[in-house]
Amino acid sequence: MPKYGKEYQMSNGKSKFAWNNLPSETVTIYFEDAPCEVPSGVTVAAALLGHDDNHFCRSAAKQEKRAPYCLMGVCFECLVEIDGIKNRQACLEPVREGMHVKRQHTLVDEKK
Amino acid sequence: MKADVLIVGGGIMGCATAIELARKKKSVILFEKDEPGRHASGHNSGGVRCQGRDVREIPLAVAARAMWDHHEQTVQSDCGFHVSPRLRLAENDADMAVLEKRQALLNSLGYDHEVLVDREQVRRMSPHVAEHVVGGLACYTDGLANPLLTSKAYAATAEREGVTILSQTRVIDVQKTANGFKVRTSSGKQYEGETLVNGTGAWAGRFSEMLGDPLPIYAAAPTMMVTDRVPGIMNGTSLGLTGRLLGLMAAENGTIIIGGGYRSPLDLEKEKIWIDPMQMSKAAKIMIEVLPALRSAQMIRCWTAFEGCLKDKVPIVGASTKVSGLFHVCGFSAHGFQLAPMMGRVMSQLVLGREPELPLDDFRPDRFEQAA
Amino acid sequence: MKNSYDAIIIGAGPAGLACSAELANKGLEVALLDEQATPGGQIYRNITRTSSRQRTVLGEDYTEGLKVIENFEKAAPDYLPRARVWQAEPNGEVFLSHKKSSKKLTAQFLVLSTGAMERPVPFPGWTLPGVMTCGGMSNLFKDSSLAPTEPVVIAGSGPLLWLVAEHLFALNAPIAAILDTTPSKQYITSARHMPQALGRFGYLMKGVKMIAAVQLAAKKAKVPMYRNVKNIEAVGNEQLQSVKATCGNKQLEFAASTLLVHEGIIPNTALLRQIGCEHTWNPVQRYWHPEVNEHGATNLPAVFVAGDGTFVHGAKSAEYKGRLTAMAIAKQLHRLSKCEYKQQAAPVREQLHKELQPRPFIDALYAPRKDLFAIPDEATVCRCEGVTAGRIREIVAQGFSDHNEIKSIIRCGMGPCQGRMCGSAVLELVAERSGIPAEETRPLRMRPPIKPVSLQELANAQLEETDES
Repeated sequence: MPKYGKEYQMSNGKSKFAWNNLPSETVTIYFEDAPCEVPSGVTVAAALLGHDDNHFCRSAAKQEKRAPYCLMGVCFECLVEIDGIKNRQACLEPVREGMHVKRQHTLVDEKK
Repeated sequence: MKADVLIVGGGIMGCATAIELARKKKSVILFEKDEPGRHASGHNSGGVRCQGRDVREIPLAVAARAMWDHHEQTVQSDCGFHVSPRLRLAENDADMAVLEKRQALLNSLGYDHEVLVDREQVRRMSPHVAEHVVGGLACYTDGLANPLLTSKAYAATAEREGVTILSQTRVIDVQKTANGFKVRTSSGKQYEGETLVNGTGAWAGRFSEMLGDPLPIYAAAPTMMVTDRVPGIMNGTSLGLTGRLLGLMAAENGTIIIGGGYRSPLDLEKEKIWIDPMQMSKAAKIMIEVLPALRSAQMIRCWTAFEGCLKDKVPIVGASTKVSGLFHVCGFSAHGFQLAPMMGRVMSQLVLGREPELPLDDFRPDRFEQAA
Repeated sequence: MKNSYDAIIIGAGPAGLACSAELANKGLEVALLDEQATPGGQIYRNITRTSSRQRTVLGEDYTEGLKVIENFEKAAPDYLPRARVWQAEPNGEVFLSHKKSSKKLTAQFLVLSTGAMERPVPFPGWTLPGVMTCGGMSNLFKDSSLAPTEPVVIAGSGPLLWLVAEHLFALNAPIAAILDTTPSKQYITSARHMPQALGRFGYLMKGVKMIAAVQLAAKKAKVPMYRNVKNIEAVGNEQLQSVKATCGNKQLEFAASTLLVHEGIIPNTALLRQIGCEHTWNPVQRYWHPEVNEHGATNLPAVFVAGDGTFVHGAKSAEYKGRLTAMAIAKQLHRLSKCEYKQQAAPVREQLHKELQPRPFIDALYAPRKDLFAIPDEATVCRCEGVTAGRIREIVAQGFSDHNEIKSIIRCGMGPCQGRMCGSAVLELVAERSGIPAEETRPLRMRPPIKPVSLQELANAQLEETDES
């Protein structure tokens, strides 16, 4: 199994992946409003996969749970809401201190 | 090969005309340079609207609207048609005055399909419209359809009724003969017919010129876009504006189709259109002003198609005044889709030498000469 | 960043990096636009930031990229990361989103070095969370050092499958099974290309060694390995739970929370098709690729394509292609005389030819197998719109054979990915059901924007006013 110290157990227990690097720096992002510490410089997709289970969004047509498939910007299955902006491709966005990330479930706020 | 009627153009007008003629026991050959529905007929915004039509078109539009409810019987497909009330918004008092005038005009002519609605009713119909909207004019029976599905259903019905559709067949020469017309195609074959119907859309002017009957039709490429699925924003109501360009149609699947007359540069000869993002940007600005919730919606795709247009924005429908036996049905100026079922009816009546069930005098091909 | 350049290069993989460096070194005004936050493309993804641990696992083929980056940084062309290009036009206009706004840049020449992607092959359950591509896993590791800690099945065919398996063994990841779907007979049919491939004996040996190492590691770790595997199926309720497959008469099933699939690599042609490059069909690898000459010139005079986007030949070739394209552009802009061009291009061309020697063998060995797209009716093909294989077969049976029309009618390819995920499958399903060969059907058109643009971003566009008609 990959070796990682206590401080790198950034998973909430549901992640199916673990970090192999000892990150030199971390940042705090908010996933579904809960703070989590993640290595700086990684993509949002990596941060979430290392932290929680792999459910990122629901498909707009059938409302099925979806997760990153290609991790290279092609499949549009890793769509999340970042700082209030929907439809961000998590595999292309680097994490930033204080960033708020949410799963993309409904595409619109019903009432503004 | 011979037929009673030769139709050039496999768009929805040509196919609608072909269906009605075949049902009246006429033999028909239809020529299409690409595939039926390849151009504007299959790639317009899909609006089925009576609202805002030129008063000259209203009788045809109202009659056509009734036929949209029966497509399952007439062309064996629902054509993806569904009702989405169309609401033309007044963004200020000046707009409202325009709408009031419009309704008064329609009432004086005996039409009641467009109804003035107040601030509150606008919000009941479309809860997310911006604060500044003061009222509107609603047409509750308008809707939208899937244009490609519709065009294909018309073409398939024509074939079922016995029409010979020649796809990938361009008419390269056409001549008037003693008893009709002779057509030569890109496949090297010749065809003869007693009457000829010009349903060639954006290409109608050039086609007709081959017979010495030039029409003042020009091509335009209205540009449309579609958003991702954003259920809840439109509330099933389609929107238009009074003082500015914009049309937003609420598709059943939650996407929004945006039209309204933004045009892209084109080259008809090479059949190429350049989609101009500046136009899309202008449309996006107005959309967000009218429906702020659209801010987070995404433009998924733009598309355009070649439309045949006339400067007075109503079509040419009728017998050529220069060539006997030639009939035109073209120049719908980017709003012919809804009229198609009715056009098939009146065109078949014209071709058969009968009095059309609705008057077509306003659409005479020579009206521009008269005006000059 | 300026608004106008001699050349704009789109995509910062090996081709784009080499091309932009070569052009900048010749004194030309160059901008390199890229979607990612750091240069490297997919193959050298995140190379400027990976740790020594990651680099050790990824090996030489990855660290090769450091040289490319070094040359690029020395040449220092304008570089705009995190730029999403959503439309490009043959007159050299490029429209892109950057920092919540859209803008337009123009250039005399455009180089589209948008690279390649894994061939998307639908199978039952491929939309379940937990299913991802081998390339995706590799990208995840490059980005973040993440590796699976729960059972993972690796399935498919092609060199990348073995490479990823090798990395996962090195990382002690719990591999549940390796399922090779390459049909045995392709080892025989590809053999005729062997003599030419032997021109790069070292390269071939590297591949053989890699596969042998994986087999040895699998044996040691008692990881089951199967050849000639068919009928892959992902099973689970809103999350992958197991992977089913068949091998001969044997039914296989492995509990897994991650399934990594790979069925080869195809050019990523979205931007190429949107701009209007003419494409040709390759009957061995079964994909459309742009028609280009040796230096990447297309049917559009101002547009070049470089790298795997022309045809999938790998990272090293991409670099050479990028340099050749740069030289051709420099010649057209009179920065290179005819004579200088000949002198400079000849050695690169030679290196490229050498690099290409084993490709026909690899392409034939890992050609998409005949039944690759024998997708069960109930399987989803269009991930965005949830359209099944059965629905596509139905519409094809009604007489539709043009994906553009199929898209308009059943929405297959209408979603945000614009057919990138379902395109290959629809092509093959149409061929299967209609009998019309794939190359005779009308390819799927790409309309701008090739990536969705939010209306707010579009409204904020800083685009010049165009002439009003």
